[in-house]
Amino acid sequence: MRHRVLGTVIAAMVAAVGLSAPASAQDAPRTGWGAPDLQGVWDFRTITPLERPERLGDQAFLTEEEAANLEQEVVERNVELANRAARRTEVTESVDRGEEGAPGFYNNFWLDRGTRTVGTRRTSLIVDPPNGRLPEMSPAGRERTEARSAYRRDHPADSWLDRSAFDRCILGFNAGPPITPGGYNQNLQVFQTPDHVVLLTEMVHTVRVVPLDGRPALPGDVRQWSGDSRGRWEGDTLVIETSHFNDQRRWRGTTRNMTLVERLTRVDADTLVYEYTVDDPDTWTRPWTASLPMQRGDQPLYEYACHEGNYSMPGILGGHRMDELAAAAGDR
Amino acid sequence: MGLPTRRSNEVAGPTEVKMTVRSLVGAILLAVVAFPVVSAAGQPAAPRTPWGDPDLQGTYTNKTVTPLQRPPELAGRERLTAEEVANLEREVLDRNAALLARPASRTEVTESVDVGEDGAPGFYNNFWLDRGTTSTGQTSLIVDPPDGRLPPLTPEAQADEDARLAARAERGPADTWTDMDLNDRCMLWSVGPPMLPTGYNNNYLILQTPDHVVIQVEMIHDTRIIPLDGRPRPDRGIPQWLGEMRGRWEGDTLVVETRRIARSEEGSSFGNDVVRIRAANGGRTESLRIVERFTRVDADTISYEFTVEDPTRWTSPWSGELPLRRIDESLFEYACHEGNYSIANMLSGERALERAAGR
Repeated sequence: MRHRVLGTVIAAMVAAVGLSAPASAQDAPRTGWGAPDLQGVWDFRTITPLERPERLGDQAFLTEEEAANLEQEVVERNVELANRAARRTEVTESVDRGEEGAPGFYNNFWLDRGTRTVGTRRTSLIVDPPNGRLPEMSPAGRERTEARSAYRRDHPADSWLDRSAFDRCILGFNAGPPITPGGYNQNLQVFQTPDHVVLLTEMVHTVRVVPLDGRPALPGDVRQWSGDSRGRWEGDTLVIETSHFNDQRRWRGTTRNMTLVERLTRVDADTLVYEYTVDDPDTWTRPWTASLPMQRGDQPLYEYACHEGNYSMPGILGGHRMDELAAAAGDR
Repeated sequence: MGLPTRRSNEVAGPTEVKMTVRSLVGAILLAVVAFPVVSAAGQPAAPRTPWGDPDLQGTYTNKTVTPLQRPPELAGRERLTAEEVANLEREVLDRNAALLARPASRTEVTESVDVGEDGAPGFYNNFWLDRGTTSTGQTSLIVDPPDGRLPPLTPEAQADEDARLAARAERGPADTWTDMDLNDRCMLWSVGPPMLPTGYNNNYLILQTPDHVVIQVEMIHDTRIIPLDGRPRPDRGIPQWLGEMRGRWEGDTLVVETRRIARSEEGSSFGNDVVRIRAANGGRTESLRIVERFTRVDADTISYEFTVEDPTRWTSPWSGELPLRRIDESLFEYACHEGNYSIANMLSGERALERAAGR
């Protein structure tokens, strides 16, 4: 009985520690004015998925051997795909599903998803709910998602407005907020002053300027793609709260009422732990939290040319117009 | 009124301080060195960051009614008199008030399309513009060449330009989006360099760290990241829209030198001037060099000076200056692409004209 109580207490402590990034980081460098120094380029590539694969059930961590095997598989797949002979691709049902080499998607050469699991060997970036998966959708969220899916089926590309903000080059698909690994150009550069933090994500060169000076939030009717962020220090952790998202963003199906709390902690010279909690009762039945350790990068960031090369958008719209013409001709 | 000259900026600079104190008693020398809070001239010294750099941080605007190039009728004059400045600013205010009070009128498609006249079809009416109401006191933002105008092109660049215009004339005005200026395409606007005022959203946020300067440009939310750490330029440049920027402190002045700016035939509009800073010039990318100088001249003003140099394009470098004036407002996201119905309309308008002409 005693042991069981003690066990519960320890479990609660472990859970609490697991939920918040390490509270103090003695070895982490500091700025000239005494704040923890989060500055530099941070590489957030990882092969660890946002959600725990269902087959892993309640397994929260990989063993060292499992992590090594997974990493080896990724390296071998990259080598195999790089060496594969050129072949003609055909338009199939795989279009738009992001399958390697499918028409409508890149082949593996263009992707830069990393080859490493997160250092904690967690089986998912999501640390809460404890099953490592997105929470159940709220009734309102389910209803809206289904309506949206139905709309997208009937109107895949009537207009560019039917395509995502990512397809439209308005936002980088890994830039958030919150930042989520994916695809390529997975780099964040952080700059700090005593009263501001600047977060530059390489993809679509989005910059978030976060005031730390305690100024009030924007009026509720001012809505932005990246929302309105306010930051503060809690011990050695930079906490950024963001709200005021706009209606069109629809990040993972969320609404304008989504709120976000990001926590950035530099735990050692080469690691920035990025933890975030997403809350949107109009989408999910409860908030969820993910933890993503970023590794120090040694390369500069470059401009990202999204619009300049966005031949996909006229290609997608033109393709759908051709489909419509073909269907109309078939009807006659 | 207007910008202090560069000479007066240097009053607080290290050289001038040294020269001044040399003629003063040692006690004052010690006081100035130990407490550089007050300059030798008795002016409060520029604020410093915690790590000792001049503090340029804050939000600023560079809007002004002073044009980039000197109007021909002001030839031979570098500055307006105080009375002329007052009259000019009064005229702007009166015009704004008159246009705001004007009854709604139906506009007709005329030759005024695209000339940027108030209320003309194809342009905004005055309500949407925010060009400021103040003059810098200069007759042009360009201060060198002394005539206040862009220098002539080199003969080679002029030949390139003539060939480009001839080739351009072979095509319609809007065969494709790449025929349009970078502004029309929502690629770049006031970010420059040089950063020059335009019709609206002339707002800038400057932030500093010990080894970087960050300048957020509201129009069209571009951000310049300028390293100060003396990193070398790579042997082979990668042209980027914002170029390869390197910053350094020269006394209390932030000097930013930009090279390897991505070339493009399209120009950028500065007021009524379209300047082809990025003009392709046969694809050369290494010859263009832009130097900007930021100096705080008082609590609310930064003097912004710039020099553009490309010996393959202009027969001489050209320089300008204007003030960045502090504002107590935040910057917001700028939605350029999201509202860029103009580019689709321009392209489809030209297609409609082609169909009407039976082509």
